Amino acid sequence: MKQDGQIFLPLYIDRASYPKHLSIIANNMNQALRIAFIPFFPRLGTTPENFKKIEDTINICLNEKKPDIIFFPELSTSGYLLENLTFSSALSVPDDIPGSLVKLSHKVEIHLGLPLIENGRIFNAHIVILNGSIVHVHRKIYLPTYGLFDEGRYFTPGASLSSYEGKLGKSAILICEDAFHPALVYSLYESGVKHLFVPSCSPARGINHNEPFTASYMAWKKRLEVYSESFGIFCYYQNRGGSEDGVYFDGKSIFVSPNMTAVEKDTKKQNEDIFYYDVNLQDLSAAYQRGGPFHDENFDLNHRLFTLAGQKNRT
Amino acid sequence: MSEINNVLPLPPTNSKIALNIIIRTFKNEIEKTGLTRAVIGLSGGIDSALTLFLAARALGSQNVTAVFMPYKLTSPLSREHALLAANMCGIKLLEEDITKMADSYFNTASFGSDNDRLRKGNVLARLRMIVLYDYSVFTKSIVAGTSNKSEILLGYGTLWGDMASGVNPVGDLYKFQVYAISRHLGIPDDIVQKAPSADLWEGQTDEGELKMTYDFIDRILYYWIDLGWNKERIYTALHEAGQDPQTADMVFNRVMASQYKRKMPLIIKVSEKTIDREFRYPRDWGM
Repeated sequence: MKQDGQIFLPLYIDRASYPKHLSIIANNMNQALRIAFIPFFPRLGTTPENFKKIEDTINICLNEKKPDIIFFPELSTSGYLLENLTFSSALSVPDDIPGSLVKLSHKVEIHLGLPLIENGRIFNAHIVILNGSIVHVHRKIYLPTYGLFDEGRYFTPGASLSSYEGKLGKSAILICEDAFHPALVYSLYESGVKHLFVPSCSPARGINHNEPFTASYMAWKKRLEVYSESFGIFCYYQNRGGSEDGVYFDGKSIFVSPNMTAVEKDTKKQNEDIFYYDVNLQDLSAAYQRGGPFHDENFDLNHRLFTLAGQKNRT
Repeated sequence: MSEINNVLPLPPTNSKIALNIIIRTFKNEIEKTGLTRAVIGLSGGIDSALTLFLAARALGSQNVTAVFMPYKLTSPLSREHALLAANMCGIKLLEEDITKMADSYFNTASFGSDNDRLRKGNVLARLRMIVLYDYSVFTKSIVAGTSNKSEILLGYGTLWGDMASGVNPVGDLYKFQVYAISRHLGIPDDIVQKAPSADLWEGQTDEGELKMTYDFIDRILYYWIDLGWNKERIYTALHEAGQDPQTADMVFNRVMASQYKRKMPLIIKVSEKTIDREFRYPRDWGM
């Protein structure tokens, strides 16, 4: 399908593979993969400077800990509260991605957020660069336009959902509010995705309680734990760090596995400290095989029920 | 007050989280401008004392200046409390008496003003801000705001006077949250427990002027604004608590009447790209 210059893919792109959802997680099980979660703090609307900082960060990571995947948050090349800076910060891929950065992708899988311009429309996008190519692009589908958010004013909503084969195996990206919508996570689960990356620019807010974290962070953690337990997927969350216009971003990193084990960045760490986590694929496989409600999923029944519920609601 | 506390209870304040957010953002927002310092007008009251404590934590005491700016009618207790707060933060207190500046204006203004408490209060507040902004240029500092959320929503402050600032670390805290965080930080009871006052004349208190307590005001504001209750639901709650529901109107009306104080001045649109309509850029542009 083609509509308004954008390729629209059917939501369930990989239904044929879904009986394989109990299969192994990645091709090579005998390895641990190290993920660098980057609570990046870009300078608002200064793309060249941010690209330099991104490359410097990648080089520091490679020299220090040699990660396999480097995970930057939403809109890392531009900053978040862009308003009219959205237009001057928008980038084409692959043309506007510096060659030096692409070259680094031979050493590490790079996940990067950017305002993406395609056919005159700007998307809030996240790309994966691996082995010198852009192997995946996700365009944010649900653009929050309420409260302090105004994304719908500046960005075009994405209308497709897909996965890619990364170093961890079958993976996908949902950007921030996309992951508030369980239907998207369910669709990825049904298509056999095992690893869900959620880059975010989530403002820290909510102090009217006695819990150890902000209400906004606790909501994220709970949400990802439910997805992981229900759908048997591994969730990787990265919020940006720093502040813009008085709005603070907590720089939190979370890894959640289907047996409800959540690993977070040490709370004593500074907002901008990098969180490294070694994902042992055999541990992941064990956690997955231990089972959960995701093993019992009846996709065909679910689809019949969705259809029936939809028909009932329309009448 | 126990009855209103049952129908409109105020939530706990997580001071630790609030401090984490405020201190880091305060530091970020000042440092990204290329500056490292802040200047604060210290009145002797709780709001400016809390701002001073936050600034000292965010920027280091050596990067914070506290300025006490008395008028001839300012209470001696205010100076004592300002000094107490500054000493606790390890910050030297500067004193700039504004009496001569103010009286010179009051005595020479062709239309007079000395007998009008509102105008006099506004002039004093704006003179203090002249001093602070001048000092901020002199020392390459940012003026830190001291108005809390309750005051800002009520419009209980002087436009371009005490409401002015470069960064306001307490502007999203209701008065009950200011109390909670101040206690958490160990700000002395002498400052925390005294009646809030603009100190414009002897015996003046905020609550006396507003004809409501901050406890009542905060409950109405919190339920109306933060929790999204409509007015009718608040009237019903007050009725259940045995209070006159219409007292809430004093809060609603003040918030509506003072909306202009929370916005930039109106610009009359004639072009295709009007500032703050189509010309929308973040304050942190390029920072």
